[in-house]
Amino acid sequence: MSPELIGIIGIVVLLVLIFMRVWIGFAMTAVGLVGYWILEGWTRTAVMIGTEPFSQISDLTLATIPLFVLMGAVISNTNLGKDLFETASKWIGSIRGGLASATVLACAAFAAVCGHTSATSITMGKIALPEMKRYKYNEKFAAGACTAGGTIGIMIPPSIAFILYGLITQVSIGKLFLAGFIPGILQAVFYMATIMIITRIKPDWGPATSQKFTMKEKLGSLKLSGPVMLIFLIAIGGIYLGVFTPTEAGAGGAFAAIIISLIAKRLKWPQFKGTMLETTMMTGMMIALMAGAYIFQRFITVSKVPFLISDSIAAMGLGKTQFMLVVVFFYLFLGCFMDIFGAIILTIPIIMPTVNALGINPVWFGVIVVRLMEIGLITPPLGMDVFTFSGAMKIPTGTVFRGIAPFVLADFLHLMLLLFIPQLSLFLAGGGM
Amino acid sequence: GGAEGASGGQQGPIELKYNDFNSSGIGITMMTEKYLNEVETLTEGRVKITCYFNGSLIKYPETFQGISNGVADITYYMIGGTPGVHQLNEVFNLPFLGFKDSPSALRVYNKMLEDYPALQEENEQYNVRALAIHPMLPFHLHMTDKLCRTPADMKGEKILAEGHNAVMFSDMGASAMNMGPQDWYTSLQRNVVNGHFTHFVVPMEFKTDELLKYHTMFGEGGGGNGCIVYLVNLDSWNKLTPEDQKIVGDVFQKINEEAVTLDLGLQEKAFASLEAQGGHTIVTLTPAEMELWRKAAQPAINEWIEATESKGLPGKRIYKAITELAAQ
Amino acid sequence: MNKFIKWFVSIPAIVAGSVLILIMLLTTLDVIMRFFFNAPITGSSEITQRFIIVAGFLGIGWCALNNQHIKVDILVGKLPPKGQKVFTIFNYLVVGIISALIGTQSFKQAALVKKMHVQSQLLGIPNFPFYYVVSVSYFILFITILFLLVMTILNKNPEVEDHES
Ligand code: NA
Ligand code: NA
Repeated sequence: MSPELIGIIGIVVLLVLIFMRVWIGFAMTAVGLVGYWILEGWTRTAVMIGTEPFSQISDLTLATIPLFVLMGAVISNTNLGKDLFETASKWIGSIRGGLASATVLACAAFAAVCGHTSATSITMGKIALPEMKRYKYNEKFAAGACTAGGTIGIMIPPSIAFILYGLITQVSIGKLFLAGFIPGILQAVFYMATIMIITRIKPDWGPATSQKFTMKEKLGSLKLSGPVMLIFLIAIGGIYLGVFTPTEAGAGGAFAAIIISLIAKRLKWPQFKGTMLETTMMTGMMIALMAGAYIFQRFITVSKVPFLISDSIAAMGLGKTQFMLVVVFFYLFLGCFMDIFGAIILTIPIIMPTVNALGINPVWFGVIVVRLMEIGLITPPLGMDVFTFSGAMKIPTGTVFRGIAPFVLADFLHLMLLLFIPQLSLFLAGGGM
Repeated sequence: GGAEGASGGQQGPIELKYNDFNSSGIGITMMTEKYLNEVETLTEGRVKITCYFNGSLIKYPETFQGISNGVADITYYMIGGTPGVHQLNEVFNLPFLGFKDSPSALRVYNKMLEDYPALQEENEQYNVRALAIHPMLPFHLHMTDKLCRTPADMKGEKILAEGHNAVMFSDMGASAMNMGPQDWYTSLQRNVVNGHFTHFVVPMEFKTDELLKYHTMFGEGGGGNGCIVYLVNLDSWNKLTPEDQKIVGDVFQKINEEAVTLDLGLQEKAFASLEAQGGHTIVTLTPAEMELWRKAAQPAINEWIEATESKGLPGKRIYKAITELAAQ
Repeated sequence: MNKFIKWFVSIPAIVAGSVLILIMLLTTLDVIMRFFFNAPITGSSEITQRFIIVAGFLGIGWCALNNQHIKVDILVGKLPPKGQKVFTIFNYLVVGIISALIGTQSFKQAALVKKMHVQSQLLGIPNFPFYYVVSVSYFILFITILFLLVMTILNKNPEVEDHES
């Protein structure tokens, strides 16, 4: 049997195990381990599984994720998040789906700094989901808004995905940052439009409050949202003012959240205990998932499946349009079981010569690839972000997938727009390389 | 199949995995792949080498462990990449050794490896041998907001630097920071750091040349070099016949020398690109100014010598030898 | 037994949470020292890189006992409790074998890494203790899974997934 065939069988077996309700991180570890064993022999496999968990998790960028989760847990456990939504409901509660739109915007802002999609959706989910439920929002719909919202941030600078893409393709990182800006904002607009349309069809999914508030009441409520705004401002502003690196923003944000909630006299022992319980739980869960994903990725690498597919795409001699169509399916497929970074590292170097030969603008291509991978994270059968969200929020995976469906539809429309109007990506970046 | 599959019998070719953290599709990796593909023909089908670029086989910090354990058979390795395994070989990473230029540094590195078996022994104790060795391009100082001519100018600056170089800059009163490449651009842009001690190709490749506008050149030889070795796992190596060992060894010698030529070409490209961009200030220091920096680097070097001697290794002798060879 | 296993997974989880707080404090202090006093903490990132192993892995047994690991319940959740039990046991077997293997191999790697003196660049923190942390974490998980497996077979698993859907 060829390694490529073993790789493809491995992907199928992984799917079967996952639908047999094997814990996902361990299903990935199991398939990765057995597959690597078949291809490489036991000695190398033993070294690989003994090294990878340390090697992959002892990573600075990764360390930032639990810290952002901590920040979110502080905000939700101290009810500071509830206050934020109190304000939001006074201002936009009379608009149908208004709170969901506000959540999407908050996700976009938060993910922009955090740079990690599932950390964003979990953090914001912790804050927003109970609140939306309290305001009688449909759970499925609210979960969809949080999970989809989390994917926006990769496009909005600073973006680790673009930095990596720039390093491999020799495209200006500054230009990639600029290129992602309009698509990122548009994505948020598309989600908000989706929310408006859904709540028009199903008004009870995002009900408007009938209560009217005077301007004085509205302005008065701003005070309530102050602490959370301040925490966000520190996390985001810290990067833009050069106080810390994006990698350090998680620690800064969590620290600010603790201090501010202490000053607001919200963080007492029970809240702190709750916060720590939640954070440790989510951290353990995510680390087990990631360790598994990396072991699986090693197997897929030695199976040469990504090489096979990208080589075939490169060798097909396609025209520009057909090529882009194949690229769309390829990255949606990869987005199922690889993280954005792994996929970029493995495939972009192989595909890039074809991209250049076809005269496709590499900046625009980068935007499309990153966008596709984001979509892959939230589409069935495998959507990492949906898995982590459902795990953290205790909502069945099926419910989240159903809730996210309208947003995925919006994603495809957004993708088409980016595909057909490259200027949306290239306008700010100044067109060329 | 990997090592075990290959050892099973003599029917198929021996398949070796080559690991490299560089991106595929760039000059150095394309050159390497071209030569390694020829091995199958040169050995008449007895040995086949598959390339894994982008660190897709071993994560960068675990490279030395991985080659020692045989996850890969041959690897591209930067001395210091897995900190702690090398002490004596760290001599190649010391600042201000006094090389005239890259080709002479290449000669000195190889002469050292030949003349001092203690260097190779440090690899062999971990079941690994260096097939070839070459210097990286010379390091110079690149700043975002000011030109630094003397070590005194470094006081209060925040510099991206690693290892002995980090110690050296701290000695000068700067803060040395070490962060992943993903944070370089943003950190330089936001002034988290304002300088980078590295060779000229790095700002070009990481696009930080949009930000680093002031360049201090420490002659053609630079203020330090990184060191690249091609390491082979000894179990894998001993599976080859002496004849095939010679063929593979020669191929890596060729790759090793061409890597330096390619690097110099890239450096030229980087200079041209800075020129084309405009707005860059590049200053080459005078020998007298260089001497100030060399003196300022001495405490960091002495720290290494002491640590090496304390482990019973000939740090002093090796340092003396390399500086003498460099001066010739 | 119930009480013992709860303590057995909780203590490592408490250590994990505390280390996460330490990471936060250390990074914040480093940022403050660097930005306001131009004196960053040497090697703070090296400490974080290693501490995240402790904060991340030590909690995985606790996650298992509390049924927190991520899964897809679309198909199995529709089965009657007896059918679900089969899949629950199958999952425990997979996770149990995996955790025993990783636990053992990380333990062996720890010894190797120790022999090779692999350490951090600036502070010289050895890597091997953190390989042991990975190993211990997976062994804690292994024992937790054994407990859950026995409880499930005896129909005494209080946390078993059957009650969820
Ligand atoms: Na971002
Ligand atoms: Na997907």
